[in-house]
Amino acid sequence: MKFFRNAFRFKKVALGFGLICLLSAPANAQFRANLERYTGDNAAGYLQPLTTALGINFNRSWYHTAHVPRHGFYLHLRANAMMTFIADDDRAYQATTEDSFSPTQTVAAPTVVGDVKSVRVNGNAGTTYLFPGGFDIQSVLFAAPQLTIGAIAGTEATFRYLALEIGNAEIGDVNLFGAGLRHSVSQYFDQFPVALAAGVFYQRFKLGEDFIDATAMHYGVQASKSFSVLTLYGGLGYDTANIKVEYEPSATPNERIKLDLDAENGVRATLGVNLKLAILHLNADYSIGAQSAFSAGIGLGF
Amino acid sequence: MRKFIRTGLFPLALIFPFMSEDCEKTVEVTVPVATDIPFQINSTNAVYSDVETVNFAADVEKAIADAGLDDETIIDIRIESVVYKITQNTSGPNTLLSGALRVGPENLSNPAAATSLAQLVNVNLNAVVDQEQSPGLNPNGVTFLNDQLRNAIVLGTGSGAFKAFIDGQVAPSPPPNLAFRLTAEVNLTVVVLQKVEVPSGCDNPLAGL
Repeated sequence: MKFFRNAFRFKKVALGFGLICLLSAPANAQFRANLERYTGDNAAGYLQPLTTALGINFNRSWYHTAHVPRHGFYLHLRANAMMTFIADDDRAYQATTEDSFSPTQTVAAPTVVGDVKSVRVNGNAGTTYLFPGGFDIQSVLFAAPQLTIGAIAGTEATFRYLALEIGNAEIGDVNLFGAGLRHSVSQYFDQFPVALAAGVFYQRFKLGEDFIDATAMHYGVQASKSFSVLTLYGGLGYDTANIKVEYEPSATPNERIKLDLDAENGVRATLGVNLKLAILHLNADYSIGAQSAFSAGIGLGF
Repeated sequence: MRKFIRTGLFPLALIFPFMSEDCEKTVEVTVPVATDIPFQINSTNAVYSDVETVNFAADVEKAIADAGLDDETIIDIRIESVVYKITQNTSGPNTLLSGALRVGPENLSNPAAATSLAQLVNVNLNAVVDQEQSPGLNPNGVTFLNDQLRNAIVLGTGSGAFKAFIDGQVAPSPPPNLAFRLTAEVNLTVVVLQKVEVPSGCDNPLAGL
């Protein structure tokens, strides 16, 4: 229980400038207990929706305009929050009984974001196999601080960084690093009606030494048009994400399970609005893809 | 300025409350528990037997604590499987083992009155050393154990202790000697109800707005 409480204490501290992810929410003792129940393909199926949602979150909020000046120095310091909505199809997966349970059976069982009730399967002679329940999660949150520096030859660089020592050996420390480059495309056209830019972004998130190691990439083009203090922006991009999870299952404590999960991401379209009030920037956008996502940010720009 | 502050604070209020909005939910957490029953057989006869007193409760409590689940409410506990392994064998070559693993109340002394849990049929001791075996199970034995578990751990009306007997015969008969260690493993699954806080996990994902 102490582990669980510490995880939430960390979340409160991290609010605003830090990040929130699965590990401050369901990845407490209960999450690990349910995950450690599994040793193979079931673990991948159980985690897949969360992997995809995190992959989407990692790749959001890199931009809030397509305008990249040709030259001149500026800094934007932002706090971004991303939220991916869980699709109904992701609440269950086809799970197969493991180990010595007989006979082997495959049933629909909750994923980590699915129903809270476990699923029971009856076997020979009155034996029962139980697939753990999920946490009935409707959406997955993530937040990250971000710094953008520009511009040289219509190119700006963006960074995300966070290192937190949780002070709990079981949860481990949090490390987040991201970097991206965007280049103005519209600078090559005279009187182009909207600002155009293209960019590529990379992000790595680690929790503990081995428990979670996630990387994400986003490639995309953006367009924007400003109306006084308001800027409408949109983007079309391609997301990839990979999450490696390593843990010891309860049934075989000396054996380490290593999962290598690719997020089911892909092409994604984004539409958003940015409000600029002096040095204060506020934005919100909505993106559509395999799962829809909402992100918002607040920042200071100089 | 006031307008600016109000305008600026509105999006702040928009972003951060839903990030800190936790929904308390009761989830079912499953914890696997394995209880070993070690039998040691030494006999120069064609028949063998051994008895052990077993208590699941300590193993269940340890597994729950190891999973970090204190203040728990156990709502269910079930037998998932029973396997066994010959961990040591110095019996004569090609010794074939048959018999039964039986279970009964803690105060039972007569193996014949116990309930059969698993059957052993012509197990070649030399051939299966250190290999996990999945014997056929008797529903009555599984029901007996499930009842013991529920009474002791879910309802709190029993101790969780029971007697486990192993007995049977070997071939060829008489064997030059019979000496082996058999460890039966009873795999259980415990279901624990836990209240957890899930950020943005309410029915309405924007409930905190």
